[in-house]
Parts: sequence; C-alpha cells; structure tokens
Amino acid sequence: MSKKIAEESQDAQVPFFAHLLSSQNDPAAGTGGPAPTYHCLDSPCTKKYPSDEDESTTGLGDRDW
Amino acid sequence: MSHDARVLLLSHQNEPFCTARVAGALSARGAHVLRLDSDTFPSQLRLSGQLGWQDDSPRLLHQGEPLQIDAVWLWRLWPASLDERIPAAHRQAAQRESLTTLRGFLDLLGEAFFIDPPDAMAAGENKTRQLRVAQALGLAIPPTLITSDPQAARAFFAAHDGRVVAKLQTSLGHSMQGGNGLPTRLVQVADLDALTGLSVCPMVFQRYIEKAYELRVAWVDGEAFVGALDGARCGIDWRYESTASWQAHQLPVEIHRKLDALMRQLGLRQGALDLIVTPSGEYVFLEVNPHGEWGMLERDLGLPIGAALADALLRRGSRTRGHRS
Repeated sequence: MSKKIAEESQDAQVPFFAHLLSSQNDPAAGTGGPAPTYHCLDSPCTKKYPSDEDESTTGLGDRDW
Repeated sequence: MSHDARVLLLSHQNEPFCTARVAGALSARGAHVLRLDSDTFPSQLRLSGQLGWQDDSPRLLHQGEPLQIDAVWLWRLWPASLDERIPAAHRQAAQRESLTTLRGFLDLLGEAFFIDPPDAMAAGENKTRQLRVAQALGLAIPPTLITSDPQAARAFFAAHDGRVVAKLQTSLGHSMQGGNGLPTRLVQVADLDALTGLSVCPMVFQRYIEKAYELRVAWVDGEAFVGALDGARCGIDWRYESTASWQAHQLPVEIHRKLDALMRQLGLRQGALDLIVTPSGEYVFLEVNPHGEWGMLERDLGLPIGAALADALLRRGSRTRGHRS
C-alpha cells in the first residue's frame, strides 16, 4: 500500500464532522467578542442552546420507535 | 366550554421554563394538570400498565390509581436518571428498557389527544422529507446535498463557489444538560481532503444563504409566534454564535399559509421552524424541530406560546372527552 493510500485510508476513519470539530474554532467556545445574550435557558449552560438537540423521545441512540 | 380537562405534561426534572409556562396557563384556565418528569421513572415515578387483567380495558396506573387523561403535551421523554454506582452496562440496559416501557405506556392513553402523537413526532423529524415537502409546497429551500460520496460533496462545493455549510441531522451525544450538537460549519478549501470521512458518516451540505434575519417560528396548532435575529450578528449558526437580541417579526401571509400546509403534511401541531430572510426579502425554509425550543421567545418577547399550547390542548382535548362520554 502506497503512503498516500495509507494516509487516505487513515483519513477515512475520521468522520468529516469530527474533522470539522477539530480543524475549526468551536464557535461555542467564544471568540473574545461579546457573549451571546440569550441562548440557553438551562443555567448550567450559558452559551450553547442545546434544547434543539434535546430530542423528546430518544437519548440512547434508539430512534426506531 | 368547560375547561376541567385533565392534562398530562411529559417533561423532565431540569426542564427550566416551558413546562411551567404551559402548566400555569392550563391551571389558569381551570384544567387539572399532572406533570410527570420522565427521567424520574422508574426510580421515583410509579407507573404500571395493566392489560387483560382485573379490568377488560387496558389501563395505565399512576401510583396505583388508573390514570384518566384527556390531553397530553409530549415535550420531553428522557431516559431514567439512575444511580451512577450501578455498573454502566446494567445502567444503560435499564435506561433503554425504562424508556421503551414509557413509550409503550403512551399507547395506554390512546383516547387522549396528543400534541404531538409520538409517531407523528418521529416522522416529522425526517429532515429530508421536510425539505422535499417544503419545496413541493413552493417554499424556497437552500440547494442541498445529503451524501456519503466525497466526490459529490466536492462537486457541490465547486458548484456553489465554495459557499457551503455542513451539518448533521442528529446530535453527537446526550447528557442531562441536553444534546451535544455540532454547530453548522462553513466548509473551507482546506477541509476538502477530509471529505473521505463521509464514508464513515454522511452529512448534509447546503449552499450558504446570505441573511438579513434568521427566524425562529414557534408553531402552535396553526398559529405562528416569530422571533427574528439580526443576520449580521448571527454567525454561521445562531444557536452557538449569535450576539443579537430577539425582535418581533411578522410572517407574510403567503409564507404563513405555506408553513401551515407543511406542518399539516408533516402531521405536526407544534414545532420550531427555522428560516432565513435574505437581503432581498426572500424567505428560505431550513428545517423544523418537532420539539425545538421556544422558551426564549416567550421570555424575551412576551409571546404567549405556553398559553397557545394550553388553548390547543384544551380545545382538542375537550373534543376527545366529548366523544368518549
């Protein structure tokens, strides 16, 4: 296996979303600018707004209902 | 109309705002409200389903008593909160079984009116279907590619002059603070070599839409409650980056009509719709979350969303009760 193919093979093990997470700044981490003003109603979470991902009837990766 | 209906609110212990608002509105209208926090089942919440035993009709027992419910607001159904000292494999199995049991119990409330029925919520989450139906109804949508094919993604990137965002349809994980989402990202040239990773996990690619405003529309049984954010202060994904404040916004009648048709076709009475208003004034539909957050619109703009939900539950629940008696 050539080096290039080997590298591609290794790359293929990294989901593209994981690449995006690691290669770009996390917008939720803050950039030194003004803090988001309103996002989250959950007190432990001051910047992110997770409730949209808060699926009503899942949470264990089980969506076949 | 008599409003002595019995309304069940399904939520979780740490839900910070919306459940209390709906409960308050229902109580103010004379309804009997029962809030069950799903994550307390089975550690605190005692529920039993009886079928073919003691009574001909299947029934759900709450604390040993038959549960008689006219309407159900299905807001959150969370996995059980269990003692961390329970071995992980046992805890996860117990959480799966508990959640499956809860979902099954909802079937024993079959005569009650649901906002929304579990099957409708599950079907309504299909983002591909949302976009297909929206386009068929004449709503503008972003050019979209959902793919596991790196070459197709490259071609899409080139076709849209490198102005492309990538996103997932589900959260990355889940915690008691909610889902752990991936913010929508602008794809850059330097990312293209990593597209091989689509063979591990597909993604959604859409042309980046220039925005004058980002809208969140809380939809309740045909009514739209709209909040707008200044598009210049939203970043790529307003949920993570915006520094703007919510402002009131009125949908054009034609857009309201199309969204109403969309929600009807999706079988949803409630949902949080996301749209972009472009600098030229075009309304572009992005997606609908059947249980998306609306609390900030009520809190910051005073929009009576909880009251509208209460009215819808009572309006429809009363009909259910009337048919039964």
